[in-house]
Amino acid sequence: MAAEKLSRPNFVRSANLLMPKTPISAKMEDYLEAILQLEREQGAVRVTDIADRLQVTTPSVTGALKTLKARDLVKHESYGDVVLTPRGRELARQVHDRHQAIVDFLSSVLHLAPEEAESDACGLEHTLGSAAQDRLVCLTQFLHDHPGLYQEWLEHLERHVAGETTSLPSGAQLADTEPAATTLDRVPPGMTVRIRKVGGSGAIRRRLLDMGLRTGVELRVARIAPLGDPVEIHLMDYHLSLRRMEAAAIEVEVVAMPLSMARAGQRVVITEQRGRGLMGQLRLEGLVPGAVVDVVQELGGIGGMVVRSNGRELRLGRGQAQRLTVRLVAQHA
Amino acid sequence: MASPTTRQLVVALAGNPNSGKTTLFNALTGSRQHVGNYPGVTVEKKEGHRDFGSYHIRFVDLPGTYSLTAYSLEELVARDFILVDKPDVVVDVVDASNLERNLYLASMFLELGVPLVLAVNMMDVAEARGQVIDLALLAELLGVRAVPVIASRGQGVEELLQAVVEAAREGNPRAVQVQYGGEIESHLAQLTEAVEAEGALAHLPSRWVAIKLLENDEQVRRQVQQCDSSGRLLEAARAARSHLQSITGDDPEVIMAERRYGFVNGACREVITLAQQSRVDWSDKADSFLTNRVLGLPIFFMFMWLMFEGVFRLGAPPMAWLESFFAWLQATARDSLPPGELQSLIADGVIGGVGGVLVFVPNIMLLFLAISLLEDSGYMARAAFVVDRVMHQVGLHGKSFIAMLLGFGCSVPAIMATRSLESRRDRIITILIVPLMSCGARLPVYILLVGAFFPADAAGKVIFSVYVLGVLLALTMAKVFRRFLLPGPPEPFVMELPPYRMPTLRGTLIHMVERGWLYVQKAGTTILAMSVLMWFLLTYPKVAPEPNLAEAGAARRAIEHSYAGRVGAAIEPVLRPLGFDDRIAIALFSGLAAKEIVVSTLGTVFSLEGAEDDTHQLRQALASDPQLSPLKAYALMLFVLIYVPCVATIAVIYRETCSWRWAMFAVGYTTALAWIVAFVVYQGGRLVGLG
Repeated sequence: MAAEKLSRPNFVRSANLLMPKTPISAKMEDYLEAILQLEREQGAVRVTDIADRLQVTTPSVTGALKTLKARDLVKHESYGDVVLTPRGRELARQVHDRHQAIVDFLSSVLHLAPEEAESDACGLEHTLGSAAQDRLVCLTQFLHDHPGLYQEWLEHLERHVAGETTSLPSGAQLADTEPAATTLDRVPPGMTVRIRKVGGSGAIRRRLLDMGLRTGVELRVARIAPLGDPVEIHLMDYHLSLRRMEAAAIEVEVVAMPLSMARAGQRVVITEQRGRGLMGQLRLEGLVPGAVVDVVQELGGIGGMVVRSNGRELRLGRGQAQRLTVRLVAQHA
Repeated sequence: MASPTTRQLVVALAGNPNSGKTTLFNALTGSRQHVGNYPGVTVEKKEGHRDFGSYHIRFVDLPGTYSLTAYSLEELVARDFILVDKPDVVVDVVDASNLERNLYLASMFLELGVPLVLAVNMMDVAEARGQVIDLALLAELLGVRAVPVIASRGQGVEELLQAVVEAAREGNPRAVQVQYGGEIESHLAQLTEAVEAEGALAHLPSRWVAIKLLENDEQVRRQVQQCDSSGRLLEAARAARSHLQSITGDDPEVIMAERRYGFVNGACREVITLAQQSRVDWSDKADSFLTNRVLGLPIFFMFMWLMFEGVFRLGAPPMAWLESFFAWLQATARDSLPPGELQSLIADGVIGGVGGVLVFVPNIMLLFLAISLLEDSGYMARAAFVVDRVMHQVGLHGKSFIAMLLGFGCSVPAIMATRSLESRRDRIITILIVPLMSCGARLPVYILLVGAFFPADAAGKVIFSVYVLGVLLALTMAKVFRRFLLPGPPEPFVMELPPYRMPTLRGTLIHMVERGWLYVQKAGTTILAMSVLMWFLLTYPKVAPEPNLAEAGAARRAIEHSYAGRVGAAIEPVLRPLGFDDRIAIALFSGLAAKEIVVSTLGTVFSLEGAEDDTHQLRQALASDPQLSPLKAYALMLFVLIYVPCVATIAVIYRETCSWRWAMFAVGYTTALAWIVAFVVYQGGRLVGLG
């Protein structure tokens, strides 16, 4: 049985196999997801936090918690913190992953604006079957891994729709810029890149492959040695050092970088926030994952930068900008 | 030990470097270990045993590897052991906090079709990172047994042994193979069939041979060539390779490595659950300080200084105790034995020789204590990372630097320190250049000569220039050897920077004692033999006693009359262009025993009373000798710096390279280099009017 499972594409997860026997309602899934998010953001979760997040009254939260408790998905004593059980956490994580997968599909494949993708995903996630979800994840991943193929596909699509309607949907303005291809030795520390091709030959090439450097893998350049060579990278779950001349054989494309590395005039989408203390403040400013940010001005040194998001200009310190991971997107025409 | 019901099992312990393999090996076998080499190569082989139930299990620690290709000696040794020695079970130590890369190696063991048990180590670390691993599912997906262990605390060892015994009895629960996909699989199927038809290859797993043929594995190709006289199999493999190349546009081995990772990645995705996203990467935080662009080098030099001081300063008192103990022993032997050949042999030859061996033990133990701490903590890789740029210029690895630095203390431990280098070529070159780093024993010679021929305020600069010249020569020779002696593409530097970890007391102690013992056992015997030989050359043949000659005169006559003296006199014409006379030639020859002996022999040949204890007198004698000059003295210092390493170093080179050829090469090239440098300095100096 497991052999059969392995012959399926690797990226199709068998999440559905792990789902509880008796499905829970969409509402309850929202609750679980909210608890998980709150837990990640602030550690302890109180009933009022959940109420705020889901914009419902505290009595409804208490009611929902009772249901979840009966299913052994959360632990909650009156006036105490809400804690997910291992089973509850697992389920919440799956709900969250599914949500992310759909958002990812809507924004990176169908090119909907992040806000739109987010709200559509909220509706879709509860109705989409698990098989359809798996395929969606699979397709998104495939298109991510084959940027060239995807570009071609888009061009065909464009030609196809050109005859009947105008052109691509307006959201296409948010399409990733064709990621700049470069070689790993030229990537500055802090950037996350995806490997396009491992070149070279013989022992070195084989060694790189054996260490997990292969097409499609994402890695982050961590730092450069004091004398300028070698470089340290992080990939999978470990740290690796290699000389620049070895890194030069690896073709990569930039996937993400800290906002602090974006240049004035570039438009980016926030993909991740790191660090705790800052998050509250940045969230207030609307700089959450999915937000589109224009870099207005670089202030140089530790001065940080001025950015525009949701029509408002704000100044970010360098430390703040370093903690926001972003992806480049195309400019407005 | 062998009661009739006892069953013997051979278990190979494999795994990635830094997966905790050695720690688990220690936990499994305790102190019942034996260190040797794999036949014919310098790769170390550790064995230990353990009784479990009615089984007597012999554990063989395979070299830590990331893969099983034919490119690296360690990987070849590991896979040869599995194919040739056919262990009953392979235990693959897997680091749970780095599952994907660790399972890549496991996928290769699956291909070899051996009964496999995964010892999943560091589950606690993975959990601290927020990863929950479903081991039961992992075991099911790979069709093997998987046991969680925490090697550093010895947890899970019983369960692991239980799984090993079961695997030996029943084999793997299910045969799982990496699927390489349509085209590759169909070629593999054909090749596998062809391999099976070849009776001479029956001892190898046929699908594995087919895979290796598609991957163009050098060693397997050779093996196949030997029994496949028609060349049919190789031809089929070549055709399959070129077909795959034409449709995929890349070499099959690349696609196959990617597929293997795809298989592993799929398994990881199924078994790992991320319980929480945020995690602090402490190693990364430590690295932003320890390998910082500004602080990295100062911190590195601080650690190196600490190590150097620790090894040679802390080692000095026990060395002095050992020295005085052996001096006392020699005196006792002289007193209690009748004067004559036997007394001299025992007191000077044997006791002197044994003393000469044991005197290094404190240094060696401390050195390996330091190295063990550096390696187990994870800093060693960072040290290599920080200084690699410099070493790369001369074609060496960052880790060579550490050995070179230790060479300033003593070449013997420095050469043993090259064990941390993975590539044999890097190791040999480093071993060859380490003797050019001016060791502590050469300093007394410099001090004597500088004191005699140079003004006090210039002394420091002169000695420093000798040290600097040694380093420059070492780097130059490294480059030369790399270019002409051991040419070839540079070794991949691609090196894991393991997470920082607390070294375990037990592991460190075992390492330290093991190395100390290994030195006494292996290098010690050779050093002893060579010391006795040197004693013989310096003592025989004896001169008839002449009662009316002063003691110092007699000593001089004795040494001139000995074989060593005759050799010295014989080589004097060769040394004449360097400005050295026969007395210096004799002193230099005696310096083979240990370089500081040059001082005492100079004392003897310059006919001084009790010169060994009074360098002041000797200094005056040298300074007033009409045959000598500052220029000659400087040439002599350089010659002492470079020429033939002492017998202990030669013995260690032989032991570490497993070859007299390399030991003799070291002797030959250093002597030639010493001659050339001294010649250039002396004759050049004379030309510009310094002499």
